[in-house]
Amino acid sequence: MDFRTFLKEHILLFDGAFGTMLQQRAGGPVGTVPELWNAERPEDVAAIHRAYAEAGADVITANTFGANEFKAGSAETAAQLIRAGVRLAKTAAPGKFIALDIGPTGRLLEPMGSLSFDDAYAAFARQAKAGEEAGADLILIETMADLQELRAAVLAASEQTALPVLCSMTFEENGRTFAGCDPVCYALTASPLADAIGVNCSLGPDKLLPIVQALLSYTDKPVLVQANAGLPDEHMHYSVGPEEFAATYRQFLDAGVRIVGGCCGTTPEHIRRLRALIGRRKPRALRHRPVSAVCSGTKAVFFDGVRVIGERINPTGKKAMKQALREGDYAFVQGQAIEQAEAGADILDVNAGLPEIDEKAALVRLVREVQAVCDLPLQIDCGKPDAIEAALRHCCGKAIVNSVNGEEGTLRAILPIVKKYGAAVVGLTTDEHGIPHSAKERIRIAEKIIAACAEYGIPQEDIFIDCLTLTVSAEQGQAEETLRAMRALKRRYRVKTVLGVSNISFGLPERRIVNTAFLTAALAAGLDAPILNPNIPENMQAVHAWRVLSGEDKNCAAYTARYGGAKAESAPAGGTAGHEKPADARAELFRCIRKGLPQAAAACAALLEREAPLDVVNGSLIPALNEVGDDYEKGVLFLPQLIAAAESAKLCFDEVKKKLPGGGAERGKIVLATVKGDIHDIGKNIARTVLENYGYRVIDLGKNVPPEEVAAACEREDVLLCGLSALMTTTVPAMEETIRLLRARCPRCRVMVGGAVLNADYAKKIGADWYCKDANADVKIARYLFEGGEEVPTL
Amino acid sequence: MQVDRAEFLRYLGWRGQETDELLLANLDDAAKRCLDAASPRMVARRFALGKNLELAGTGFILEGQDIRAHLAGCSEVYLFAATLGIAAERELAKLSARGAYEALLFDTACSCAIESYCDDICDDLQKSCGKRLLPRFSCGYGDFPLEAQRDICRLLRTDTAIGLCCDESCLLTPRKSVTAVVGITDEAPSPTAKRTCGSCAACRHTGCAFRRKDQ
Repeated sequence: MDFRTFLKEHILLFDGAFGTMLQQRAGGPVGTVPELWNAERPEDVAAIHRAYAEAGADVITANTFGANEFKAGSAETAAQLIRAGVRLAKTAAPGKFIALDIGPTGRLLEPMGSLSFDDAYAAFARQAKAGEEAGADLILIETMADLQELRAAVLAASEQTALPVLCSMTFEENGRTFAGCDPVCYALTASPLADAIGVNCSLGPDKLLPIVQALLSYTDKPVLVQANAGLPDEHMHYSVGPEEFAATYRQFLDAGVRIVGGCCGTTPEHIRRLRALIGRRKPRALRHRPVSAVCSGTKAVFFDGVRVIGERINPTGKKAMKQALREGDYAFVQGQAIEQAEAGADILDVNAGLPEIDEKAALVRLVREVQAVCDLPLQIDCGKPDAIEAALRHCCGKAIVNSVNGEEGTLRAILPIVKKYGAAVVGLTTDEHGIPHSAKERIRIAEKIIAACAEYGIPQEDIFIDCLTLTVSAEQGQAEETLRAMRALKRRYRVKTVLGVSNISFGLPERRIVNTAFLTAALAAGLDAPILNPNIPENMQAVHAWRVLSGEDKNCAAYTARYGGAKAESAPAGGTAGHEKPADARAELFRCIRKGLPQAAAACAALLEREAPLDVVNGSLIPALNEVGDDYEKGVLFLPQLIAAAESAKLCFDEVKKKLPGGGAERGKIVLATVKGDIHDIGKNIARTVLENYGYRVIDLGKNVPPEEVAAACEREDVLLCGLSALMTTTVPAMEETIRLLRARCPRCRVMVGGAVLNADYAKKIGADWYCKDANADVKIARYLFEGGEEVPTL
Repeated sequence: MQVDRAEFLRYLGWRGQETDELLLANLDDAAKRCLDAASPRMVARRFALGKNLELAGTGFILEGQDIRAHLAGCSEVYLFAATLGIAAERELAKLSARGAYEALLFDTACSCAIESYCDDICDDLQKSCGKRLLPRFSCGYGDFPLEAQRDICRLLRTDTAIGLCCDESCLLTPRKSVTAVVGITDEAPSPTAKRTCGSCAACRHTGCAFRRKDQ
């Protein structure tokens, strides 16, 4: 019988532990690659398979858990071990389903690690294909802790083979995986991609019930449980015997689990007891009901109240964001993400729609860089199907796609992608006839979108209708039409609503007044997810107030905690700065910078009242920084004091920039990167801070940056100085390669290098112009190169 | 596990400079934030040691003159791996995007914390072992190659056991992690055994800014 059919009609029984059984046979450790036994001791492997088959397992798992190119040494060896393992299992257990077993790569994926999603996918694809060719009946992806790695594996297995794909993660006692994923995020993200999802390893069966319950609530797929026989003691003995093990499994079956088996420490006897427990039970109907929720890899957001979508990561009308996207300076974007999260955004919109850049590549990069520093779910803001698909593919979690509209072509191009990745989708109430002018027309288009989604199996809970905000000063009746349409849709359907609000006030004075009123009216009309700038206090104040009025903020607790005792945000900064003489103001600024105090900004603003911006820079800021730098060199100050001073100087430069809108304070442009293979970026970040705070424009390419990317950025920006950092002896070769490429492509560009294992000799050997022993050395080089400062001899 | 103020300052390169209350308060904040974010985990295993420094039954040989000298006379070792976990790593990424000052303090606090955690692990191993243990010895000390880190991670299955990975450059991820070899001597435990690791004494980088003054 076909596996998928069998799964529909039966409670499925997997086998038990393999690794611990192998160790028993070896009488000790089995080396770094236990899968080598498939070639070296096939009889031992076959004997374990036979024992599980005889115990009554429906599925025999091949000994291929760690047979990947990273652990086995090469893709070829991995494929050989997989072929041998699957064939052994087939021979040892005829008539049983054979599962290709795929475990984690042993590498941490980007953004926290250095393995790219695409490289992980490619490796998993090779494993899956080797398993299918060898005759596996299904693929089991198990013991995963990182949701992004699981996604890469499941996508590879399901796209590159025709086999059913089951996946399983391992949880800790705190209800999360090592990588911080909880069962809700897991279920929302993995269910659309796999044939079954579940949990294995880590805990004994008695601890797994809450996790299993959560999975059952949020997945529409069969749920699998393969628990450990308890936790091991120091001699690697597992405590839960077969009888006790089977007894706790009864509650899983009662709750609706449809696939069971054992993990570490279980034996054929454990499996025999499970066989008896299953008896003649038949699978229970799924209890899943769709909910409106999205998530990242670690945080789920439910739409059971107002949820704010932050709109700032979008180049439209934002000069600094345009520049950041053009230059590849994603540190700026990351700062925007954190700022919005701290201001109260629940979800972040990401948009890379800039005509002169590759939108698809930039959108993928945006997703990665924002997810590296922020755990909020994302809204992919793009109309191009290929870019949407690429972004969803690389986005960890369940995202919202913004957007489709009522045009047939758009719906047919984008909805299949939304469905494949299990995303939610924004439906704009426009179509080929343009923007409708009545509530009725908006509702008609929304209904068309809802019907099209239904055809693809996208539930109403995953649809966010946008009833469109038009400019009230141009078409005054339209505000009410928007609200009317929203009220009607919320009454008739289970859809949610989104709305960008700031458009309403275009052309009017004091726009914030109108925006806030409209936002409140829209929330009252049933708006679930306003798209707005959370950094504007009035916007979030309206949201907080609405949460009180709607009852979402129980007992007004959050509101009171936030505003109880708080003064209005516009209170003027205190102090007597305005009454001081210029010399005193300069001394105060000097003191604040030297001490690294945030009050430096106010002191600088006070001085700017009396002196020209460039005089403040050259007469106060730079001399203050120089003194701090000199004292650092002499050992009067140490590193944290240097950095604190640099950061307070940055606040001052921000004040200066307000007075110099043309950017006249920029002193030179520098590209910085931590080289390929290296993820230790603290040194590079310190260099960035110090250089920026001297007024240099730093294009920070981030960590683990391939040589080509560094060279391309230096070439495109035509920079004269590039700084590279590497921490370990193992990553210095990548630095050397980067320098070689820079020499070939950007002959004008000089290179300074730094990092723990470097010294001047080594730096010279790999072809650098300068070696930087600390962050202050960078500044001296920049001053020499850009401003004719004291010469810093090259190596 | 703790973040010791003196160690914290030493890692930051402090050489007796004048500090003020604000800086010390910032250090305390960073230490607290680090201890809150950290979820330390470890895995250890005992292996018999062959003449050629092979861990019995594994095919893995400890390579390098320095570790050979260090383990002279040991017929067994512990391998262990420890990590502060991914949450501290995420916090560091977030702080780095906000500014260098907080990130520097947090990063350094984490370095102190993982070393302190390793001290605790070694203390625990000493208590349960019954024989005197040598100070821990990590990859990258002397000529013990970083590449050995990959095999240690595989033998201990650190990826599934504690969420610790070793990447293509043989660097550990999450970054605030340690792997180490602890020699088991044939002698009875000594009550006055030194608690510190042997890294500075064994290290050839005598000009290092972080070298302990007493070694």
